[in-house]
Amino acid sequence: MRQTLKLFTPIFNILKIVKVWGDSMSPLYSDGDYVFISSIPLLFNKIKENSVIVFKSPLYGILIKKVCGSDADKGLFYVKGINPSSLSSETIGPVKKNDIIGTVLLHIARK
Amino acid sequence: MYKLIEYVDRKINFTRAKAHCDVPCGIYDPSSALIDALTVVRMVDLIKEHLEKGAVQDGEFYNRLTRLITTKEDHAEKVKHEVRVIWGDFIKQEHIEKFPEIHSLVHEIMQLGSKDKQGVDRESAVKLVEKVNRFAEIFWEIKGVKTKRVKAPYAPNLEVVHPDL
Repeated sequence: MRQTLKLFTPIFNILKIVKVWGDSMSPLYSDGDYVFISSIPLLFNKIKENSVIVFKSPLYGILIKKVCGSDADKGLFYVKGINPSSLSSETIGPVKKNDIIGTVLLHIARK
Repeated sequence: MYKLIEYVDRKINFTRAKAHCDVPCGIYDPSSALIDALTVVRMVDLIKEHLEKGAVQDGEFYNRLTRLITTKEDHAEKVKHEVRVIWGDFIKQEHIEKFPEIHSLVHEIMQLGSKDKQGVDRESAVKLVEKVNRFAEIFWEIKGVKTKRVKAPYAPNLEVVHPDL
């Protein structure tokens, strides 16, 4: 099974499945949900306000958050959770474009 | 569809994306405490810079000084809060048995947090970061997650422990 799945690695590089861990994106995405993400919108600068992105944070690891603003000149994006209890945009800090893994294309809910 | 993806996930382990929040969802992470501890060091540095500039001691001077001190106090308190929550809610008896230093470590963090609220001793503030780093190492070891030390990409550029995901 694992060997077979490795054959699909090139596809996984542009289309990845990620599991959501936590509730800061609730009620849109809940703990345990899966999302399909793609790096293609990133290549065409299609990340806009309200896009949901998965990115690497230097201090928090891999996060999923909603884009709430950007600085196009510096290639920075500001993000926040949907749930009011989420870490604030200030706490997370600006996200560099190079740290974005992909944007959410499809959502597979647990329930 | 969900069950199919879950089945594949069990075989190849898809990436986990954390959706952090502070509600009681079972998610604990010492990263916030580390950022707060770094902020304490940064505020100590900024307070000293501000005083060494020799600026006119007018309203602006005292306003900025007050803001720096208030921020230092707030973040030192946040360090104490974050560590207390993990220690009180997440740490269980079996963890205490495995890491008998945990109680004295948390007590040291509480004491240093208070000391850093009271004064502007940089050495003490850096020690707070180091103690929270050790707390983070224990936390992630309990979670079975490897850690690495990285230099924070902003002043005061101190090393912090974070999960090697």
